[in-house]
Amino acid sequence: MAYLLATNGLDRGQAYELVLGDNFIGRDADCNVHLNLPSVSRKHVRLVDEDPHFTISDLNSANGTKINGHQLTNPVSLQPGDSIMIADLEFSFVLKLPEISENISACNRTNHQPTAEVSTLQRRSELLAQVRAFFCDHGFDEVETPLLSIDTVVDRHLFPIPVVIHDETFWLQTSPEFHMKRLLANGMKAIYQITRAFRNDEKGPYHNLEFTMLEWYRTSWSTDDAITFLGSLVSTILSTEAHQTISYQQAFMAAIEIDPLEDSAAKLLHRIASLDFQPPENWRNMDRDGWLDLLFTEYVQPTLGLDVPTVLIDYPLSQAALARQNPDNPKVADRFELFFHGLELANGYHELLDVQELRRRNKLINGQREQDGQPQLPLASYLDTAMQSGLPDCCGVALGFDRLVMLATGATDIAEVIAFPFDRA
Amino acid sequence: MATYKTNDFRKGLRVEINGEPYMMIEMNFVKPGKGNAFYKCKLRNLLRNTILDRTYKGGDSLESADVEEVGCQYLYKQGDTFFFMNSDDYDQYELSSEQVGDYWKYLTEGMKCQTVLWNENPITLTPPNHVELKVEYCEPGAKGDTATSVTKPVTVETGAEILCPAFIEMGNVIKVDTRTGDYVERVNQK
Repeated sequence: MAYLLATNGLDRGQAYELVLGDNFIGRDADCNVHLNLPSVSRKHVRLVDEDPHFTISDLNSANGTKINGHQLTNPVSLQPGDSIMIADLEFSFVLKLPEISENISACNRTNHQPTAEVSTLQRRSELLAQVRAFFCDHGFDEVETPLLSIDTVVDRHLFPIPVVIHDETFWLQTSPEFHMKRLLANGMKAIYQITRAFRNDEKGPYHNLEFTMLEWYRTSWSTDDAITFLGSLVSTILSTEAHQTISYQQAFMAAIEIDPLEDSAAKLLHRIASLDFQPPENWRNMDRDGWLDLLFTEYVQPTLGLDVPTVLIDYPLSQAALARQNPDNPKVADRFELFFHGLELANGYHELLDVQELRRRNKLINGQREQDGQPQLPLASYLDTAMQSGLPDCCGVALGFDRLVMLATGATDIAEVIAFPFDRA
Repeated sequence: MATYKTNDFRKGLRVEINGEPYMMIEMNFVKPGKGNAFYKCKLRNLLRNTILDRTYKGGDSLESADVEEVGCQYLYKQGDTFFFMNSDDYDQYELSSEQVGDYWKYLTEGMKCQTVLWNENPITLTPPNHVELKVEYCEPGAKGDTATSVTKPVTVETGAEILCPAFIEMGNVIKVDTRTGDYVERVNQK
């Protein structure tokens, strides 16, 4: 069995199986190796598989074909390991697929090129400058804090990466939250930073293990002030109309007529059954928030921010994370998120100030992590100490900068806006 | 048997679900920043070619399936059983008429095919896209009728009937597309 293994672009790692006899590679839907890209000709290449003989010919394609860097003019015979460049797509010709656990590109280190176009990286550079100017205009100080810390945020669904230095465990930060709050506790009032965060096991069209986070805090802000600032930042940078807000409860009611605050887990499950979604057997242990997450990602999130950036407010208290409880409605937290074109872009809190409540939540989360078979995370932290001495009333927001670049450039995969994603880092 | 955790999930993974082999053909990771991770997968049943949509959550796992594709040569048919030989190690495989399906029409001795092995047993057969078959019997075409739009059934060496243009004669060799069952062209004999 022979394969073309994509080694660059968004398809990298994808194997295209070749059939015995004629294989046509091109943009036409009836090509058995279908590459739907404008640079690829309708019928670009013909590859004849007469195992053990393989012959490749270019079918007068517009952008040409290269074998091991040489332009393909007359049909040539292919050997396993040969590199085939079809327009701007690179493949390796192989007779055996790499083992699943192997990381194809990292192991071979064959492709040193960035996955992002140079023009996208230049656009990214402009966006960084625009964001910095926006914060400068609003009186924020840019700060820098460590990536590697003895503390880590205790979260049920985040998997921080441990780094052992001289027998002591440190963590690559999942966000700069702890350090930035320590700066607020020590007198800074309006701070932001553009930094890296690391979250293990997150990989997909919108996730890269290492990503760029834009995070900011301001003291003496009301929740509404923080939401207004977030909306104006995003609509300014992306040149859109003003943001709108909708509550978590309203969004669920509008999308699937479920009340996420009032309905019982049994009612959620009943509704899930009528939505024609079959949850696997072993999901019985998933809690109510798990079912809400599932319904949210399947049915609610895709409806958010289709026209203008939309801020979802009043999250259930059970999903408060480090937000304070809403002083007027004890069922919800002062937590908000911004969505645009169905993409989750930013998460903000009116910050929790009560250190006793922080400890209670962290203990609860560590209990849940134990149930999930996840390692315990440290309960003691410099943040705990700082909160004992007094954290001023403040709001904070974290925004995924790579996703902001995706929205600005119309990218559909995060690799299009990052020079070197994790599997090529 | 190996177990794949959700963070091993990727296109091309071969897994076993409810005792049947599947190939993961699509995998999409979705996760609210502060919430549960979900893996939305499309899986192709390798026995029945049906598509299964499944969502998994972070930490779930799937059993691996012992599935591999190998090249083989068609040997002969006995009763309802077709015999093939692995081109590399000369192992013999048996496929039933049901597993071979309509592809019996194209099988000639020595033909190179591909088969999918599950737990070392063959489950499906794929012949080459194009095969050349000798015409054993057909009605003579009307003289001078060279239009390809007029067709007639011909019987080829495997015993199958193929619709061909009227100019095809007994003893001709024709090229047939096994995916559609259609006549492609007459092959010039050297």
